[in-house]
Amino acid sequence: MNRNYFLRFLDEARGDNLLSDEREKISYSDLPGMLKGVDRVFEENDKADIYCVGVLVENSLSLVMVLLYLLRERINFFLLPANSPVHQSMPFFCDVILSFDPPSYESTRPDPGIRLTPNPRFTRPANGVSGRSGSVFFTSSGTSGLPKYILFTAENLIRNAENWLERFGIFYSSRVLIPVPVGHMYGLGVGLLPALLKGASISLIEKNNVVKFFDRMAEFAPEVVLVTPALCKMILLLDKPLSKKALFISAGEMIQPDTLRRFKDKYGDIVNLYGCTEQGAIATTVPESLSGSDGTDWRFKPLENVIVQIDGGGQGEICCRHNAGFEWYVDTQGDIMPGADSTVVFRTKDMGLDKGDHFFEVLGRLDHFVNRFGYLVSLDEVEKSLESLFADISKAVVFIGDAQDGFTGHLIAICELAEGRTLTEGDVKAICRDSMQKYHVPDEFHFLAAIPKLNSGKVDRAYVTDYYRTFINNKFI
Amino acid sequence: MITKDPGMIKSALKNIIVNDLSVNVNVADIRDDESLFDGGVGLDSIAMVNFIVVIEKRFDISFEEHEINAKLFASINELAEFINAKVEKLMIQKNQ
Repeated sequence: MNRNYFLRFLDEARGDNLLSDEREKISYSDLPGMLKGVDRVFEENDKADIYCVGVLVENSLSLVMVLLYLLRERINFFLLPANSPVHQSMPFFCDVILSFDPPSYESTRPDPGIRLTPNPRFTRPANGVSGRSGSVFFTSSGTSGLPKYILFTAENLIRNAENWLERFGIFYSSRVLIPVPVGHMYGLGVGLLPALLKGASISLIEKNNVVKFFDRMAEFAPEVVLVTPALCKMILLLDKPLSKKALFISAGEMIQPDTLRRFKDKYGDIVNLYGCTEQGAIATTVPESLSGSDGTDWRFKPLENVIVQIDGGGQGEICCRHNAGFEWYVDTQGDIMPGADSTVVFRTKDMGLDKGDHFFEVLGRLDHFVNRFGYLVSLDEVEKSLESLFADISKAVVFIGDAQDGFTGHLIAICELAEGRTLTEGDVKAICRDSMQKYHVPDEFHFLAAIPKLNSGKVDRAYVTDYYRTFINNKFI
Repeated sequence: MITKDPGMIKSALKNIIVNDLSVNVNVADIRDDESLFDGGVGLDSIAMVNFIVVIEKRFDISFEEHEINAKLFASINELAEFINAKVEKLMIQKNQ
């Protein structure tokens, strides 16, 4: 997609379909006038000199307008996920920070309700992309090591969205509900951009909860809804019917087959999406309406223009060749990091199983597998076994310790205990030996009152390994 | 618990928030007119689910799909008024 294409898209945005958030509704025909409002703010802030705008993301119409504007003008931007501490999380390569007026602000369109302020920590990258190069930066979802950022070209971002359209065909007449953050590749590349490209009706929810969700499901009556596995579980827990069924897209951890079945029976077709920030959407399970299957198929089918290969044949790392993947990793200074070449096959670091006929199954993170006594052991599986075997263990994190003399695949389990509960390593090991395969039983157990979580809701594995390292160091002092 | 005293309902709702949902707030600090989620009491998504489930159990009522909306859960006032009406309807049905 080039600048002309995008200008044409905006010029053609004359339909009566509505875009809405929790504060207001606008129609596509309002967009050109509103973009002029955004342009006024940028012109007042030396638009031509801007290197990269750090956008504090919120699910709002103001954000939609800002994104369209930045893409059209090919101004580089970085999307800072909501709730991130701005001063610690804003990278050095952003010279301008864009924030939105608070909800209490009385919007008087076409005033876009945005503020641009200089980033006091800005340093221009020595080896970065040039200004006005249409670069879009995302935070990496990595859980350890130094922060790095994922750079997309605006063209590939749009191409990525178009891939998605080919699979599920969002149309001009579609109604798309987006209760997930649009600052991540999932909400943006699978929800917002495809829907915008088709001029579909869009409804955004900021800081979603079940009340907002049911409210919008009833009022907006969407046909396509982006969800997370956690939201699916909460919807099922409430056990309320919905007057209209929809197609639900879920990303993140896999929804288990029994949950998938219960959800599908009650609320409509649901598909699991497989992807990552670097590649966007890679593959999906196929909904019953398209496949004629029972709707609980675990197999993934790659999107058009995406080739998936399982390293080594039947079972191994999932590798992907994408027509619209990321360009580079950059460091906090904005300098392009050596070693990542987006033109070659991307290694996902996930373990997969070739199911034939271009289908595959995702088994889990590659570093969550270990060879023990000749068996391939999934650490995720061991964690699940411990959590289901012991009611007193609310969360288990299992990882591979450093290789020690005489054996490999030394498994360490760090367990979060339910409130007020205690367990001993000896008792737990004895029960494990009686109930689990020998190669699944961890060699060491450690018990903690709480294991911290990251903003994403995932367990902070770096904290757990740091805890263990400190424990070992203290032990041998 | 079946009661149609609005004051008691408000008090019961606040107690649920503090005791059942373990929200780090004092009963006295919850205003009747403040939002239960954004910018108010700050119930997160899981707390909202639990709140609805506990309310249904305590007041022996059931929310219909269309009744779970942002306006109703905008404040303790709105919610208490709604529960009051539901309970009243329930009592009339029981007495018939």
